[in-house]
Amino acid sequence: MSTQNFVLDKAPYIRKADNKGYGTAVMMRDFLIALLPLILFAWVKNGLLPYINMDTFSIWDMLRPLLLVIIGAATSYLTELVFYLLRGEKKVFRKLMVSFPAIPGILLAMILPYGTPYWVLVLGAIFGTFFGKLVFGGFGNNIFNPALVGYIFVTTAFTSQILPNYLNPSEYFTAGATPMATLGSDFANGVPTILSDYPLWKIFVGLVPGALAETSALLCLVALVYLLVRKVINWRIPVIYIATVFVLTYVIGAFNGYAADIKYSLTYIFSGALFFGAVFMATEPVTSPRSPNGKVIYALFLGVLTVLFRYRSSMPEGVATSILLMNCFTVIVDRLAAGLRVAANKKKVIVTYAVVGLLVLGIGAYGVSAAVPKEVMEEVTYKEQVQDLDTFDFQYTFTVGEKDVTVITGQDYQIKSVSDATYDTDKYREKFAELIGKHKFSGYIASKTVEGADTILVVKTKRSAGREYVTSTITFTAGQITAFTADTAGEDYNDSYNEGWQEANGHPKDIIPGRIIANQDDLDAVQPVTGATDTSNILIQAARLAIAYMEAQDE
Amino acid sequence: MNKSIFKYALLLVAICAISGLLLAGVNMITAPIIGSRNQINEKLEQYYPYAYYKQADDGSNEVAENAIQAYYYAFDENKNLAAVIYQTSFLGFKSQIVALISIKVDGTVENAKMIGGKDDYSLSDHDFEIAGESVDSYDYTPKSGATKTSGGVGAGIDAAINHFKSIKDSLGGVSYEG
Amino acid sequence: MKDNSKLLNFTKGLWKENPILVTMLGLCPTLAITYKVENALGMGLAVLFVLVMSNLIISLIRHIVPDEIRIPIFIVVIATFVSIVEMVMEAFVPDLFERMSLFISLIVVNCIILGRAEAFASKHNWLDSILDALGMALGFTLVLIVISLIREVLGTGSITIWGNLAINFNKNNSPFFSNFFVSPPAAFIILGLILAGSKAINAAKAAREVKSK
Repeated sequence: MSTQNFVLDKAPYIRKADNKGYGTAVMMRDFLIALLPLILFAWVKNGLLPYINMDTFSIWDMLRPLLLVIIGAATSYLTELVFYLLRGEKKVFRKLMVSFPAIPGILLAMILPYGTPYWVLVLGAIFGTFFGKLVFGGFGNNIFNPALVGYIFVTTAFTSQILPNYLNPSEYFTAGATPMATLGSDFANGVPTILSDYPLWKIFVGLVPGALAETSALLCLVALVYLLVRKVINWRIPVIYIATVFVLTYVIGAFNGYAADIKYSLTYIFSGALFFGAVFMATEPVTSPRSPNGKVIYALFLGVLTVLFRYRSSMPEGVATSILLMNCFTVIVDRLAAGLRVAANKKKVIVTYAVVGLLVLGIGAYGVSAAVPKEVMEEVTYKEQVQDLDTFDFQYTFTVGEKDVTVITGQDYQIKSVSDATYDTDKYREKFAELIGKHKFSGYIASKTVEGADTILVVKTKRSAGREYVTSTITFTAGQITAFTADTAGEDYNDSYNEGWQEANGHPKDIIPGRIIANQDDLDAVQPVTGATDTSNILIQAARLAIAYMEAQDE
Repeated sequence: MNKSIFKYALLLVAICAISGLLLAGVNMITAPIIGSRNQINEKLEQYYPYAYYKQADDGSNEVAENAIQAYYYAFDENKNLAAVIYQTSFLGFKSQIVALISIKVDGTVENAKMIGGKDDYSLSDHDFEIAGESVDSYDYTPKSGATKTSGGVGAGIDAAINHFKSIKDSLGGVSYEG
Repeated sequence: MKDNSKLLNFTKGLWKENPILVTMLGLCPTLAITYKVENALGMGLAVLFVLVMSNLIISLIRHIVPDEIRIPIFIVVIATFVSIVEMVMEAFVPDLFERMSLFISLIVVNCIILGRAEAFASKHNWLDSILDALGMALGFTLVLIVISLIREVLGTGSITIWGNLAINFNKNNSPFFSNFFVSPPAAFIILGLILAGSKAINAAKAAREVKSK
C-alpha cells in the first residue's frame, strides 16, 4: 500500500506530475526561458541595431536594454532580500530561491520604454515588489501582478519621464510617435497612417517603436507555444483575450468603413502590449482564476475592458489597467465558476452565465460605441445680409464649407427657414443664430401700408450694436415725403443728449423731420441738431432707406 | 410618559436657543468682513475678471473726491499678481466720475471703464482707446462730444498711471496671502 | 496619585489611544486634506477648538442631560462650535477656508469628537474632559502634520506656509518630486505605512516587555 504523498509546496499548488522535475520552480524557470527571446530581440532592436547603424555611438546606449533588465531584476531581488532580513527571517536565501523575486523586476523593465531613467525603473521595481507582492505575504499570496503595480505607479507618478522616452536612437530620427499613440488619437484614420509607415508584417515582428521588449507579437506567439507545450500556462486566457479584442476591433472597424478589411483588427492586436500582456501577465497563475470556466470569463472581461480603456479613455494602452482591474475579481470569478460546475440547479447556471454574458456585451458595446463616427460640423462664416423688400424678412447668407446657405429670419431675428436641408440641423441653426445675433441690421423697413394715395413706411434704425431701434413713420404721397414722425424713446438718453446740447437746440425728433421733408432731394444738406448729432443722423438714415425703397418700387 | 417628552423637548429647545444666540453673536462679528470682501470681488469681477482680489491696505477712502479712492491687487488662478486696479473719482461735466482703471503688472494699461457718476452721458460702452498702451508712453484722447465727462476719466487715468509708476518696483513683494 | 492620572488623561491621546493610529477615527479628513502642511495645521487647530469646547460644555451639562436625548444634544453643541469655527475661518483666513470648507463642515460628524463626548466627557468632570480633549486633538494634529510633511515634501519638494516658502528641497526642479504624492492614492499608501509602522513599534515594545518579564 503506497502512502499518500503530501507535497509541501507554495501556492499555486499546481501539480503537473508526480515527477520531481515539475512544480512551481520548474514553471518559473520555463517562464524565464520564454522571456529570453524577447529580451534578446529588445536588445537587438533597441541597442545593437542603432549602434550598428551609427545612430548612436555610446556603448551605454547599446547596452541599455540589457542593463535595464538586469537592474530591474537586481532591484526587485534586493528589495525582497532587505525585506526578509529586516523581518528577521531565517534562511533568507532559501526563501528567496522559492520566491522568484527577480521576475517582477524583469517584467517591469520590459514594459517600460527604452529611455526610462534608471532611477525611475528602480523606484518602480521597489514599489511593485513591496506593495504588489511583499505586503500581501510574498510569493503565492499576491493579489495583483507586481510588475503591473510598479508600472502603474511609475506611469502615474513620473509620467514626464516616461512619455517622451519611447524612441530608441534609430527611431528618434525617423518615427514620430509610437503606433499606439497614433491609434489612440484617431480611430478612423490612425490605421492607414500606421500602415503607411510600417507594413503589417513589421508590426507583427515588432520592428516598430514601443516599449522595451513588448512590441514583438511574433516572439510572444513563439513564447506562447513554448509555454503551452511545457504546460506552464493554459491556452484559454491568452487565446480568448486576444480573440475578444480582435472581434471587438473588427466591429469598430466595420463602423468606420473597414468592414471587409481584417487588416484593421490585425493592426490593433499586433500593436502595443496586447500579446505580451496576454501571454505573460494575464496568465500568471497566482493572480488569475484556477478553474477553466473561470479563466474563460476572466479572459472575456479582460478583452472588453481593454477595448473600453483604449477607446473611451485617454490611455493609449489599456492592457495594464484591465489586467490589474480583473486581478481584483479573480477570487470572485473563481468561486463563481467553480460553483457553477457543481451546481445542481441548472437554472442558476444559465442565469449566472446570462448575467455574465450581458455584462461582457454591455461593456463591449459601450467601448465600441465610442469609436462610432460622430457628426462633424463644418465651419460657418458670415457672408452678407440683405432685406427682402417684398416680404420685409431678413435674408442672411452664410458660407458653410464650400457652399453658400441662405437663412431667412423674421424681423425678430428668429430663423424661419434654411435653404439647404443638410444644414438644417439644431447644431447648425444654433451656429446661424449666433452669427445672426452679431450681424443685426442697423436699419430696415418694418412695414408698409397703403392708404389711398399715401404709402406709409415704418422704418427702424439704430446707431450701434447695443442700442435700441428708433422708429420712424414716414408717409409718401406721390413719391414725396409728406409726413415724418419719429419715436426716439428707445435711445437711452433722457432729454439732455450730451453736454454740448441745450434745450434751446431742440429735440431731434421735433426738428429733423421738418428739415428732412424740406431737403428730401438732397439729404446730405440736412443739418443735424447740435449736440445731438447721432440721434439726428439716425433719423436721416431712416429717410434714406425709405426713399431708396420707394425708388426701387417705382422701377 | 407625556411629562418626560415635554421635559426633553423643553431641554432641546433651550439648548438650541442658547447655541443660536451664540452663533448670532459670532455672525455679527464676522459677517461684515465676509460681506465687504465679497462685495469688492463682485464689483471688480464685473469689469475685470480675475481669480482673486485683495484690497491694498492704504488708508483708502471710498468717498474721496478728485483722488484715487482705492486700489486693488488682482491675482490669477496661480495666485500670481496680474494687475493693479484703481478706483478713481474726478470731476466730469457736472458730477464726480468714478472710473475703474486696470493696469497690468508689465506696465500696459488693460482698460479704463466708467462705473459711476451722475453725468447724463454714459460712457460705459466706450473704451477710451487706451487699452494696451504702456504707462510710459500713452496719449489719452477724450471722447468727442463728451469731453468733460471723459475728462473725468482721463484725470483718473493720469492719477492711476502716476501711482502705478511709483509702486511698480515694489510689486514683487505683493502676494495673495497675509 | 491624582496628578498622575490627570497627566495620563492628557498623554494617552498622544500615542496609546491616538485617534488615528489606534482607534482609527477621523480618517476621512486625514486622507483628504494632508496634501499641504498648512491644511494640517488649520484642521488641527479647528479640531482642537471644537473638541475642547464641546468636551467642556458636555461635561458641564452631563448631569442635566437625560440619557435618551443625549446624542441630539451632543450634536447641537458640537455643530454650534463647528459653525463658529467656520465663520471665523471664512472671515480671517479665506484662502484656507476655501480649500477646506467641506472638511471643516464635516468636523461635526468626525467620529473623534462625538466619540470623546460619548465615551469620556459625559462621564467625567470638566477638568479631566479638557485634558482628554487636548490630548486627543494634539495626537490627531501630530499625525496629520507627519503625513502632510511627507506628502508635501515628496510631492512638491518644498513646504509653503501662508504664502511663504518655508523650506525648499527641490531647488533643481528634479522630477523625483512628483505630483503623485499629493494625490489621493498616495494618501492611502502613506497612511497605511504609518499605521503599519505604529503597530510595528507597539508590537516590538510588547515583545520587549514580554522578554523582560
